[in-house]
Amino acid sequence: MAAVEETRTTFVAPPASRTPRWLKPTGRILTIVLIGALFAFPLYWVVTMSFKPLPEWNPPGKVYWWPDNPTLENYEKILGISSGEQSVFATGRSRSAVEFLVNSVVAAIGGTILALIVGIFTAYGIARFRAGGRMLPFQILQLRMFPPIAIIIPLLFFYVEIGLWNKEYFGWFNLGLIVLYGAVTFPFVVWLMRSFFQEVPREISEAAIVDGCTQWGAFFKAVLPQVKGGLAATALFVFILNWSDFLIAKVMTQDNNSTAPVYLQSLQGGASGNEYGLQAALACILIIPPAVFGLLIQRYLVRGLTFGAIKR
Amino acid sequence: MAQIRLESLTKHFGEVRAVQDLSLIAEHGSFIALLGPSGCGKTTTMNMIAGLEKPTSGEIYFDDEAISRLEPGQRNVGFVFQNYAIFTHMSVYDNLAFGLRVRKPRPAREEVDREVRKVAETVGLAQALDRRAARLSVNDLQKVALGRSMIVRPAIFLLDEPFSNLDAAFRAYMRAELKRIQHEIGQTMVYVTHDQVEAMGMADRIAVMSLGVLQQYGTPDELYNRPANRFVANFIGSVLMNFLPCAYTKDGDRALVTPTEGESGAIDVSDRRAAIEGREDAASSLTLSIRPERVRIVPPDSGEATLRAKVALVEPLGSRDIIHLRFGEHDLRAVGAPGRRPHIGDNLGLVFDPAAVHVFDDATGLALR
Repeated sequence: MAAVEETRTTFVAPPASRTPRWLKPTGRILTIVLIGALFAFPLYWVVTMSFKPLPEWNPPGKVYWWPDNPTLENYEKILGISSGEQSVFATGRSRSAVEFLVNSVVAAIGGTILALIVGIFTAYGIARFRAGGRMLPFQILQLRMFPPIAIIIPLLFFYVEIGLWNKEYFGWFNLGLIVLYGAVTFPFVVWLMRSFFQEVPREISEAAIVDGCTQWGAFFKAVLPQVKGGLAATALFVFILNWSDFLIAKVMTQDNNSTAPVYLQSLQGGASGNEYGLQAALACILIIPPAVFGLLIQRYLVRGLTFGAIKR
Repeated sequence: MAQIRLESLTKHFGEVRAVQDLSLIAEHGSFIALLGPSGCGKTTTMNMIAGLEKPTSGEIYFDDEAISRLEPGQRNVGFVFQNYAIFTHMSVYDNLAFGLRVRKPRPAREEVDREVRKVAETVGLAQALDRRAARLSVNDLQKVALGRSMIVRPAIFLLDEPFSNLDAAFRAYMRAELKRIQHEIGQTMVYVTHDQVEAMGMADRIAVMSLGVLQQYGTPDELYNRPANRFVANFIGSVLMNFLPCAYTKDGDRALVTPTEGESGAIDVSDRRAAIEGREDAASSLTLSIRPERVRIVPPDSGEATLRAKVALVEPLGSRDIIHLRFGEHDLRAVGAPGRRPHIGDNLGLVFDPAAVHVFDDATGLALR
């Protein structure tokens, strides 16, 4: 009996399986947690920092891993609910960020809408009618092949010349930024939407046309609804790009006409010192719009991924 | 109510001649099949009738009205696409209603509802109206496509290989169903297919096309019994036709063709003498041809036999056997009754009745008769 048992083990057991069975999943989970923590820590730091009072920001010789005296002071100041008088660094600079947030929202949404409108038609033209020939998509992408900083200085002169530099209509409508945001994200819209449109069979629009639609009607009623998911994903992507822009806004706007990221940076250094708490609070606020937008269109995002399931 | 008349219809895509000088008439209420291998121009022809392609030259008439300048939506045609072109973001109901809703002026809600329910009943979708089109089976998608083309009450139905993605059983069902619907609504239907069984079984008349050129336009019987050329002979019929090179001789008043290779008797084709002797190039070689179904099998020693061939393979199909034979360097096929199934290696006598034999001119491919 014992002999039989032994033979069996020699045959069945793989040679290197000395580690206990339970350790394998544990090790795996541990690794995941470790890597996750590595990525999550900056986020954790920013969020906790936003609730720390001034003395806990960056005192010499001590690290506050957790706010000892959590406060909403930073949010109140950055949103203009209370003025910054309590701060020892209180200068004219740490004003409310509301104005800048409004500028950001308008510019990012405006730029996104502009890029989507122009980009969608371009993409459909390319995908469906091969508009502009084989090279057009590459020519459009070419706009993005150099870093924006390479052209920002000539563009600055150009904007100054045509009077769009630091120009804000109605105190919130920054046309110059909207146009630039639209222009720099337009190639992404074209490339993303082109591939979504290519997935829609040509017959979809033809069927609508045979039913009596015009080319435009077929596009809006039959084709565009088919790429809803892709459209949502593209809109989110472009919005995030525009929302997080720093360079263009920094160069093209000044003072009250800037966007939130530019203001965020201005909270650092100079006469005011490093206002970490305020920066963190503003950063946390900046996360909200893309996150909310993402949640709202999540349904469509998933559909965007499963798109094409009908191709049987 | 519409007759379709194509007059010298031609379509070139750059260098590619998709359709060449196509003329044919589809009578009102008839069921026409455009048949041919892929790339023969049948779908292009269909698209021109629907208005999705503009002809390079030529004209299309619906009841004597030239329509090639009309927009697709103004032509009053229903189109069923090969891949159905269902709007997957809509329900079955909305898909069916689409054609009515884009009309100007837009019909009243009650009218749309009534029409949608009627059509759904006809195509068998009454229970599925609220379902999302994206979740339908292929078979139901096909029904939606059919229903959607019917709802606008088109004078002409165009169907582009509508059943090619269906499983065999449902395809057979839909074939019968389509014939029923066509009979019911009594409208002209043009049906594109590469499946000759489908075309033969459904159409009143078939237009066989190859490389953009119309080869023959006729009833299924005509195509089967009197193919105009070798291409049609080859394409029509479920068992491949027999072809043998042959020589033409005269014996007094009689005109004879004899297979040039192997030992065989002569076939009397005196009734075609004028055509054979008057062919374009009198020196061109000839091919004789006979449908496997028309080959008569006799004992090898029978004096009646035109030639003798050795059995190479037997394909039993239940109702009949397809017997593959070897005659010299040539493969021949005959159809036999299962009761008298020969063995591989047997010698059989084959009779080619003159009436069943076609003679083709190798230079032009045309049938001589």
